[in-house]
Amino acid sequence: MEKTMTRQPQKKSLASRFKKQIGYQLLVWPAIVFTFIFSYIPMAGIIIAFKNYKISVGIWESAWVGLENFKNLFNDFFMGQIILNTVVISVLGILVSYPVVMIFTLLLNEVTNTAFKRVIQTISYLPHFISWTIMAVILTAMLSAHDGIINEAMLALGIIDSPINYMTDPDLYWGMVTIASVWKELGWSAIVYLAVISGIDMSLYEAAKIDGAGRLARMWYITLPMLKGIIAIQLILSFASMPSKGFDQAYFLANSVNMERARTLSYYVYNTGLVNARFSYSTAIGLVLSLVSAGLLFSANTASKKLTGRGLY
Amino acid sequence: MKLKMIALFLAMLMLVSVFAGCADTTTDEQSSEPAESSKESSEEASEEEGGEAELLPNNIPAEVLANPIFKETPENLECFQKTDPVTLSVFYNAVVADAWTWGEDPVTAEIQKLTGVTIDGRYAADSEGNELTLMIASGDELPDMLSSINTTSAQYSELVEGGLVYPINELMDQYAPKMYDVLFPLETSYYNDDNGNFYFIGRQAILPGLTEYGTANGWYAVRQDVYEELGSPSLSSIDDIWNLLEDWEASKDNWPEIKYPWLDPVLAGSGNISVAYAMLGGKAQYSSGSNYVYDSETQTVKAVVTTELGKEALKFYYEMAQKGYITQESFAFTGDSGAELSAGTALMYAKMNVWEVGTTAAALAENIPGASYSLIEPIYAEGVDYHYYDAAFRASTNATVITKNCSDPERAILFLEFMATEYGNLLATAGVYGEHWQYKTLDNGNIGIEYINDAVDAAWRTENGLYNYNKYWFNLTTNYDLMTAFSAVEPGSIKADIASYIERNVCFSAPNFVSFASDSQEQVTMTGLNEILSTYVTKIILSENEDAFEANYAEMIAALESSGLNELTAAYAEKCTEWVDTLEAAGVEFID
Amino acid sequence: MATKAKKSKLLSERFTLFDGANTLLMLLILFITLYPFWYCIIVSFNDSNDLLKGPLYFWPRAFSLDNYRFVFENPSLLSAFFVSVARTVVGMLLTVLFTGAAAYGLSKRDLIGRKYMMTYFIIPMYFGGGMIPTYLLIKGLGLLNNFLVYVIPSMWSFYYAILFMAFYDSIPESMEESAKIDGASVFTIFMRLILPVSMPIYATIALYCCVGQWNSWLDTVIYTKSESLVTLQYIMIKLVNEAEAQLELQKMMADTVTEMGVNAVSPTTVRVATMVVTTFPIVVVYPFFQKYFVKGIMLGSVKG
Repeated sequence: MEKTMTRQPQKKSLASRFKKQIGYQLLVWPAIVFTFIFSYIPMAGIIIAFKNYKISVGIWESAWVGLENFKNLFNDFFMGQIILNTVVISVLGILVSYPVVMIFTLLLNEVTNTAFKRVIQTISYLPHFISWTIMAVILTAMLSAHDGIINEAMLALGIIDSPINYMTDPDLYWGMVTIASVWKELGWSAIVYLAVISGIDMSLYEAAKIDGAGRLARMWYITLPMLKGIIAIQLILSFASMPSKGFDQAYFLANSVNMERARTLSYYVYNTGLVNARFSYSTAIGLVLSLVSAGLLFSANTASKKLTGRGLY
Repeated sequence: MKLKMIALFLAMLMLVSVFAGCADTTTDEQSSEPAESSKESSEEASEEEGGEAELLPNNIPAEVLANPIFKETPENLECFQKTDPVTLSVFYNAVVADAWTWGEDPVTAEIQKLTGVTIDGRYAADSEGNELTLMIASGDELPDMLSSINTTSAQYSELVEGGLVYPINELMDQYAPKMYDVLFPLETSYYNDDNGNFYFIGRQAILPGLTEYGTANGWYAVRQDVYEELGSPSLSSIDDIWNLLEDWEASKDNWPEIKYPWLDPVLAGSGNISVAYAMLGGKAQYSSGSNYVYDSETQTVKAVVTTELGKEALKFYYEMAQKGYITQESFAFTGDSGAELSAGTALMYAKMNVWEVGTTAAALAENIPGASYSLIEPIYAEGVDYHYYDAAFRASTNATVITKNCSDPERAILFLEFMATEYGNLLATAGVYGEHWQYKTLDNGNIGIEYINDAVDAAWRTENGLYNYNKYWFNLTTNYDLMTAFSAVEPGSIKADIASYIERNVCFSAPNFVSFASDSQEQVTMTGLNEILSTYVTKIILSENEDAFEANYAEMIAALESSGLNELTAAYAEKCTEWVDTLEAAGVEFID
Repeated sequence: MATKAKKSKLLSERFTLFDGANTLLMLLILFITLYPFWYCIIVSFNDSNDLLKGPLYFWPRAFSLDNYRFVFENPSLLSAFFVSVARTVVGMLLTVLFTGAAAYGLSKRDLIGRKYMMTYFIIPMYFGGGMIPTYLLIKGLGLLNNFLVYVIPSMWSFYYAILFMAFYDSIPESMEESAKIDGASVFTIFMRLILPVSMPIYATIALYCCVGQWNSWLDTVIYTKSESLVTLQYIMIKLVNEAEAQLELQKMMADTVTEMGVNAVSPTTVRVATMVVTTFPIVVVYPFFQKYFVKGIMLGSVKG
């Protein structure tokens, strides 16, 4: 559904075409200026990554050091693990959360009692507001090998005969983190989809029902296609934010036993002392992360366009 | 494509031109000499040349002057010659609970009375140091003084290199020469740069790291009720520990809540083996948790784990793990000892914080009727003599600097001079003489102090302006912390031999006191190595069998070496040697 | 529930097995998501020392208002509350309108320069100069220590713009066509036609903005100095940090072995009480926004 402004042949000159759409242009240009001021001007600060930045000397006067700041990151002994963990946790997160959120959204949409529906929706997004500090407390209470509720229950029911080390077993870390994240963001992610769904014309459903389409058919042929666009966009954006994933969870759930599966890029960068005002180093890291994200964004967008005909831009 | 290029080019042009305008955000180089003032001559009136009628005596209670505990107070200090009211602004780079208003509690009122100084303090909202960084970066006006500055931080080096703070020695030379006699020699000679300048006055300048169990956090705790039920066996050697654990294991079902038979918080938290290392005789670790040891004979530094004794310590933990006394879950220990103590989850808890046993006793008793923890002396290997007192310098994490912006640098340094006197210290830690504390003679004949009020607790401290003493005051040495700690307690219950502590001025564990600047290459390497250590130490301890143990150990050595261990230890050794030389020049004996 | 559902059907359908299963599933989800929040509430109403004894499950064991007392004792709480509300409302309105309008223009595929604009907007999402250059810019613009620093820098968000555009794409062209033929200007079309129809997405973005504004505190730390600009969230974070500092302090005060401030409010309970107090307004406000999602359905059924 491409949007155009007129149906006239596009043989006119640039100037007159511009004049025709001046209304729309006027809507957009303030944003362009705004972005220039607030995003592009400070961007010049990126050169800090290539300098040995001293606060008191200032951005311009500080000495150039080229790529030295980047070398330190890549020489790290654990770089392989870090990249693996980051990629796995992100991909796993996407693979698990999207279907779950979609199913939840569709099912929720099917709830007939609007009051009940509202209640569910309102309550479902509450976990989003719980900070990871609280999450860590709760997870420990539930998953601890010694006295966690889940282990106790499973032992009592005879499902297992010795407690499972959820909190420390490296092999379980990825799974635990994924499930915890999905649970936390389920309701909140659903909000956008529900908003789009609520804009769908009800008459479409009426018509389909008259034609004899059942519940599932209606979901598959009407609701889902309407969401294709927004899903594609969200997917692209999630994919592109991969480098920063996994921080909160790692911060609270990682320990020396499961660390080999928990060290993700953002957590690792934090751990190696960004807090100490090592500006050049942290800017360099930020730059690397950004480049990777941008690269991912570009490839995801291209892939999406090829596969579904639509993309972010 | 062309349009894109032009647009980009224009954007760049605009960018550059805008920047040409707002480029000048750097602070101008300020002159590094404080202006010579004409009143200097009257200030520097000769000290000991007989009673100059002008000089005022020290405005300190006579009893205090007559009973020095740690140091004498020189006569006619400069800070008492000028006591008209003045206000100094300070930014504390730390989060403060209950920031107080100067003058509204007995202690700050007393300081105001004695020195005329009012401190207008502002505190940080978070512990990341953002505000300080931005203050420096934006060229905004810094306040008169900055406190709670970490001298190993990049911000500190920025302050110094940017010429934003006064060299303290210059101010002392100009306004308060007697301050050299107030401060300990090490404080004025250790941190000097090549020009002989030092730029801060630090807290914890001298850290008495008592390694006898008299220290507040070197004790071991054991579940008293379990211990009694197992027959109260002897607990004074490492073998005794094994025996106790075995006895416990035989009937461990009686106490299902115990999930950490042996809880070693340092190990669990950061993969640091110093507890076992010290137990087996590694002297350096008595007072430190450093991952490195210095050998003064060969003047080299080694990572603890690479030494023979270090490997023995790893073996010790490994055997504990083999027997199930250390589990995977032990490594998930979050460090919240309060929670563990209240739940009675540990049978033996090494390196305890003394007070936590007391604070959690009630909760534990309610949770598990009859349960309690007792403190016992730390257990060392046979023949190991750990009765040393460690009195040495630690790189200061809580420094005070005087900025070039200071409206009255003279009063600022005089204020610090006052706070550095024995009475200034006592004011900050114990309170006002006669109102809060008084002198008392200890068993060993030395002078100590005791509180007048029996109910000294957190609320009392807040009310009386002592709440923040440990971090956010200008508390310039911490000998007094321990002084007040031990004098408030029944002598004999904690055998703190203060006299012998004063006499023996020894130190060990050089790496614990030497550090690298936070943005240096060495620090980067060290952080990486620490990461490797913590990962591998865990792996090694949890190895399945001896072969795995050896394999993991070898892997760790290889990993360390390939990540810069040798370069780091070389740099470390250089710094440690320098430090030891400084110490010995100041009369401190280094033992390793 | 089943009988009620039968009676209030909008589209006269039987309550099928599907509905039953769905309802059960939803109830399960409700419980799973609600429980931790409930846990927070009971912890916040529990005495902090009592918490050390062991976890709570369904009800506070030692009811206590101390945690909330600690939170509300702060004198600047009331003014901070108003500042927070102000920045939330103003910030939300500015962002939603500015971004929503610009996104409308940007959604037109034949907008001249669109491709370059998209690239231009995406780049800052990933690259930035960092805290110091941004601070210097804010300073240069005179926004330091100014209420506007809360609401102006966040006026445009490309991420939200993307969401807006996705929604605009679903509006049938025919609507705009007919308005155009009638001679309506872009502005009129936007105000009279697009806005009302896009209520669901506007409500969504408005909600995101409100949450973002309400929860933000770092800008208060970095860009403001005066007491009058302090926000609720800032006080909260400070409280939590201070409670932790207090605990740290107690750990270092080794004056007595036995009594050590047993009455102190420990960080866990303070953190939780803080979280409850700061989340509460949002939770209360959300159902209000939900109404607009529902309105969308109503409008939709009238259309076509």
